[in-house]
Amino acid sequence: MPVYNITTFLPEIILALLGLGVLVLDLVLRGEQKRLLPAVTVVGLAAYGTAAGSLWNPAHVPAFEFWHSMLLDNYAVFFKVLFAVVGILVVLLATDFLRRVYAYGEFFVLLVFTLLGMSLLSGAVDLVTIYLAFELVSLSSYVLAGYLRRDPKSNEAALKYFLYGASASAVMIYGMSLLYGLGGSTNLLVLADRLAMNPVGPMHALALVMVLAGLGYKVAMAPFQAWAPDVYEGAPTAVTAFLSVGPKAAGFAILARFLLIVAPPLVPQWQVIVAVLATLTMFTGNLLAIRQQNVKRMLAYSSIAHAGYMLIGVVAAGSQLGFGMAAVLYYLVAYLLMNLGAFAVLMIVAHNTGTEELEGFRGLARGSLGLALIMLVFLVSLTGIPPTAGFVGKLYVFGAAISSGVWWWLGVVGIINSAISVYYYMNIARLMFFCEGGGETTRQPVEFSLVMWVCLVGTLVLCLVPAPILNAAAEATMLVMGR
Amino acid sequence: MTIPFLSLMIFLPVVGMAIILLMHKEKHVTAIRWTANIVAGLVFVLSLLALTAFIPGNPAMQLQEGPTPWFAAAGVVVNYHLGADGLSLPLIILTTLLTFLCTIYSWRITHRVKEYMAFFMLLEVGMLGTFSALDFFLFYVFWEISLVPMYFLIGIWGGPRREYAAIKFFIYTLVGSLAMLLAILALYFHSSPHTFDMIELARQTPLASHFWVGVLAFWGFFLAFAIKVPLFPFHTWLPDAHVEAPTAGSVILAGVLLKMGTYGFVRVCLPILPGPSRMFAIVIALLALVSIVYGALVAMAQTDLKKLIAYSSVNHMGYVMLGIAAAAGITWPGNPHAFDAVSRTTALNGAVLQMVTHGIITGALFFLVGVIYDRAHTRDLASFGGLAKQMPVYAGIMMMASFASLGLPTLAGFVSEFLVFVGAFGTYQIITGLAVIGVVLTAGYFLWMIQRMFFGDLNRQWAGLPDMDPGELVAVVPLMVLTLAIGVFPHPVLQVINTVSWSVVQHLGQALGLG
Repeated sequence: MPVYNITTFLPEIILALLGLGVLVLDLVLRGEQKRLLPAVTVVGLAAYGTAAGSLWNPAHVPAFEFWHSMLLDNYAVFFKVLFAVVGILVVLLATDFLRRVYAYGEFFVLLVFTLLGMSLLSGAVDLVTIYLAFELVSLSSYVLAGYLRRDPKSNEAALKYFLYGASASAVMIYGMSLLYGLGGSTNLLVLADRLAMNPVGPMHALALVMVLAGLGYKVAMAPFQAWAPDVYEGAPTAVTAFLSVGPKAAGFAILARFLLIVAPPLVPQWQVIVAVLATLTMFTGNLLAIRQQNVKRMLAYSSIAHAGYMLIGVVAAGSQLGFGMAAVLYYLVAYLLMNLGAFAVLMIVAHNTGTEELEGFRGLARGSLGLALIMLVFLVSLTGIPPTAGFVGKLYVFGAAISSGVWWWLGVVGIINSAISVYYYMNIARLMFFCEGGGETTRQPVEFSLVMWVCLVGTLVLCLVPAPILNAAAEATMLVMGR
Repeated sequence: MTIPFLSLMIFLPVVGMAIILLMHKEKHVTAIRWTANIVAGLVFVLSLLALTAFIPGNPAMQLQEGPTPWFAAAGVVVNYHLGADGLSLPLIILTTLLTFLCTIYSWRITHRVKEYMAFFMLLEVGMLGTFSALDFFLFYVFWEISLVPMYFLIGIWGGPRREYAAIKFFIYTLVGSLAMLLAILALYFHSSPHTFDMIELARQTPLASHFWVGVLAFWGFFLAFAIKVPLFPFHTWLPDAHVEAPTAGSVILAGVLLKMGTYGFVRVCLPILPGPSRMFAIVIALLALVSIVYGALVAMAQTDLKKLIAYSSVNHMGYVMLGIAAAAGITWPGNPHAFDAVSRTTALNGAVLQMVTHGIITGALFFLVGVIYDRAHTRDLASFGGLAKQMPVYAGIMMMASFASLGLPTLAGFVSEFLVFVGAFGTYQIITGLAVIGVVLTAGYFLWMIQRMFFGDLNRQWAGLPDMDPGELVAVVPLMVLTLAIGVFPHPVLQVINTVSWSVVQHLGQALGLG
């Protein structure tokens, strides 16, 4: 068996080369020429996405890499393509703010390296690889969050992110060391077999909780969510948009794989833990979102709540693998589109009004009806009302909860939370449509509009024609165990 | 080739909305109004044409479109499936008629016309879709679509407390529909093969063998439908929403949206969850009784004309619910096996007819409230008086509508209420007997309202009020003609309804192993 195969590793190679290439180009290019950088990044990311997509394996034969530390299955491919889309959209969202800051190229380098970490994480099946990939994502994200060097809020964001993140990593690696002690291997597949042979003890639970804490931090799962609002508010908006979907999706990828591969002997235990955490996460996110005046903070809390909805699917997947995980993957795609779309509109509004507070949306419908209606679609989707992708996502996640039997009550919790979320999402709609005032939005960078339209079409099409993504998600999760 | 009437009716307003959104909000105001009028008119005509393809004596689903696979993914199969029977068709025509009249009446809207008409078109899509969908996925999508535009209609064009009323309306109804979503999923995952198809689910009654899931699902649906009806104690959003909504919004709200709740009980609860429906019918009947009596008493206490009409809706929808409960319930006091199909059918006939007649009459009443409010800028009953001389046409129509609403024979309201009482008496003697008090109270508050508005001395303040103008007459007169027509000769409508009521009751009896 070959130790590694260059084609199966091609997406990551492209990303690594892209990162280094942009780094060099940034040194070589001068002044106006630097405008090439986002274009290069987009093309590179498109190549990455294409390379990843071409690895889709209809026969479901997973390939291993590097002494079984990496796994290439459809699950990993699904996420890699998703990351490529996120990356491209975020580059588009970022170009405008970068025109106004000094350092230009580093941003893309950091973004690409974060994506590389995410890409590795999607296929990692070894504790060491997981940890390394995880740290690559985290370290690059810390810097991105603090990208506005002269803005104290951005500094605060980076520092908070770093301190929380470092502690979370420490806890996680401690949990991993316990796992190694229990199973005598760092490989998840081997670990799973060995753990299954021995009776479950309290040490298993402790190890599980510690690893969950580390991963939970990345997906902003309560009670490890405290960093998110400050970081989201302080970071540049494009970075916030990225953090709310990119690393979060990667976190879910590994969280689910970890729980479903290593933890089958522990399923009843982790289902209880994750179900409780999901409940906590949904309530925390939604109840705190209501009080926010700053839209970025509000979206931060709402993204915590959405992580909670997705955790419902993860719990359900413990009982009924395929359906629950397919629901989670679809939800991630839907969430990516509606959330990035909402961020794009927020950025357009902030450009014209100079504020990211709720007030900026006041009377938007009077001046720019189209923009307000598009935002309305995203809000309706985030609430989970048809005909939008958010609705189908919720339908599947709650459906997974109900079909799994005992976990139906999570569906009820999710429903209660959706009802709570109406209040703050519709509050933006209220400001846009019910209030007077607000001029026409004149300045609308073309990249923002592009992202906005892509997300709008995606949000609607994913509801009207959800089958391709749902089927891909179902396919991708068929062999999530990797064997 | 058969014409897909239902799809055409549902999607024509989508086209209308798209056209309206493309027009300029200031330069094309008249064109926007005309577009809305023409589209709503065409949809109305289509609904009448659909009648020609409809066989009244056939209880089955007609005008069916589909089931066509929409998507089948990750183990979930969703079909595009529409159809109409004697239950949905009258409501569909009611919807298209009221929407058409509302777009005509709404010529007087001058503020943000483009958005107004666009939301109105979307509203029609949601309502027509809800009444024609035969697949739960589709049903839920349309159900929710109708929610959003109404939120904006109340919130933008409403009265002083519009924002509060709009969000209250939105949250109440959304809580209900989310509960329904869970119930739908419970049905789906217990059916075999898994299906969202409402006809197939009624055939399978998948939860008959899962007692507790059935009970939970029933209460899930109950919450959604009861909030929409609204049944006491879920009615508190209604007075706020009605009072704050613009005239056309109130007309649609009372005329159509409330019927989505009662429609749901007949279309979903009775056929698909016959066991729980029968078991909990007594709860519905009691709540209906409270709605009837309490609604009437509160209406009597109102000094605001619009609030009075709003509470009269709580009162009148109570009759519908009583009829539905009686069609399903266990005979009281008594024998759980007694199943008098004839009186149950009568009760259900009354309930369905009451949905239609209430839509027509209350629609007219809300138009009429709008007429006086446009002139006087107040709805305070105490400030009116003697208007009969000042506005004779208005007074005449208002009195006729009021009499229809309070159930005067030869007007539509009487027929439906009469049938409800006759039918319901077979199941719930005591409750029905008590509910008749509601009729007396209804007569009381309407007569008192008429007296306060039209008789006595004319308040000098209103000496210059003009009578109704042609635009208003066009909106109201057709409804009054229908009221009289159904009141005098209800046979054609009843014939359509009866076949379906009979089959619903038969199905219920068979599903429960009775009668």
